[in-house]
Amino acid sequence: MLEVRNIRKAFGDLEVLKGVDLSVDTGEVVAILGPSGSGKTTLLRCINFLETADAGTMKFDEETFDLAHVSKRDAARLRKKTAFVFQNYNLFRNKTALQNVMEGLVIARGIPKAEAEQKAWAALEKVGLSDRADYYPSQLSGGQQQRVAIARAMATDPEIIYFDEPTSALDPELTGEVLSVMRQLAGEGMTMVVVTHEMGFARDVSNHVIFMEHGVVVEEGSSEEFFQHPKEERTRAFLRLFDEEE
Amino acid sequence: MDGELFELLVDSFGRILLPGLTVTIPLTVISFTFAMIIAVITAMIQFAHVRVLTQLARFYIWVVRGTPLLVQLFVVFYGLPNLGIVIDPFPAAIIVFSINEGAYCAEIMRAALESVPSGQMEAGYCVGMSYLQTMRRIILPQAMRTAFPSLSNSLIAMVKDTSLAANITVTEMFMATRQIVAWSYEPLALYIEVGLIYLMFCTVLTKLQSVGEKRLNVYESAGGK
Repeated sequence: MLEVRNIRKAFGDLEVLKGVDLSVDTGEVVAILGPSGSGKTTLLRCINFLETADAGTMKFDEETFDLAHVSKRDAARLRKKTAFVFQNYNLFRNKTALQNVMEGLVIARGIPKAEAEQKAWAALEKVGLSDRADYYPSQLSGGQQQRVAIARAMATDPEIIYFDEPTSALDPELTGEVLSVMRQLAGEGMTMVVVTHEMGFARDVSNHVIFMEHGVVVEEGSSEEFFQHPKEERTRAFLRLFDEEE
Repeated sequence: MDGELFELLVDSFGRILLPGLTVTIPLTVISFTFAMIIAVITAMIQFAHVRVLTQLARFYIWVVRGTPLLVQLFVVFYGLPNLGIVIDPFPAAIIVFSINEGAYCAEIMRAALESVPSGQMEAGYCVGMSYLQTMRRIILPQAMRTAFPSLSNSLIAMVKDTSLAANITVTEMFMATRQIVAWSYEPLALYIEVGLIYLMFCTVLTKLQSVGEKRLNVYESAGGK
């Protein structure tokens, strides 16, 4: 359903993406791994037009777009089919948890308030936070905020959800509650692209793994293949680091 | 204090307060409303880096902040008639105060808009909202909260600045006081009296500010509810 070809992006002299490909099938969970500064986040941000890529094409639902020259209208139209979960949650600070989830339904999609509220409640229920519906983000823990952000993402029935290091700002205890919500989503067949440092999550939940470094894909494959039989020496070194941790 | 002076002060209290209620307050409220409209538009233009308009906004702020309010009043009221543009004192005062205050508030609003984390706008985009929708629903309300104390400050300063309108024959509180001084020869008592009335007005505004801040702070107070 999503196919990205030869995406390039530089910030000044710094080439962050040097021609990366990515393809995601419906219902698939793709994990993007790699050391800091490898371009994972930039890749995700370019696909959702938070950054403008310098080159590359993207095919989404049989429609092809030039990533370097996508019109504002196309970007807005595509964004309504997708959702994005940020590393630092980015919940609307002036809205309660429930309002955060409703905003994209009522304002962006014109869904009647009553119906949107129902959907928002259901989404909050799913992430286990219906008892926090009237809390403002500042009154929630990081893990709770991220779960509200996930509820906000899935309430719009997106075709795909992009996760940008969703647990990197959380301590281990709170990481668990966010990961379990994501596991549940994956179990329900949600299409997901997840930039993460959580090896366990990538190994257990993802179908496909992409390992990036210095703006290129070093290795990719099914998650089983990737973790059991990594081909590249660089990948092995990377995985060893995490084995030692565990 | 002798009885005669006391009687004068009591008598003049109403005669100073009345133009306060009918001129000073309307002048402040109307001008500040226009100023806020100018400020929000000017700040949004700069925030969005709209070409040409941003330069115009910077020029406007530069000129207005760099020239005295009194000079601006004189240019509009005494100067413009040279070009055949004659404006009555009260509307002239409104125009000048709106434009003057607008420039200062525009800077407050611009800084407040820039203080909202960029992730808020990105989150708006990502849930499918447009720039203007996100601006109106997410960014501006948060910026308003940040700007509120500074804007209140400007409003309080403006109440007092309206006394300058006396110089272009607007009969506001200070002008009314001067007229009473002219025949009663009690400048000390009367100017203190008008000062106290300004203080009264500003005290009310200060109270309103703290009520407003509490209401706006609702979503920033950490901890359970």
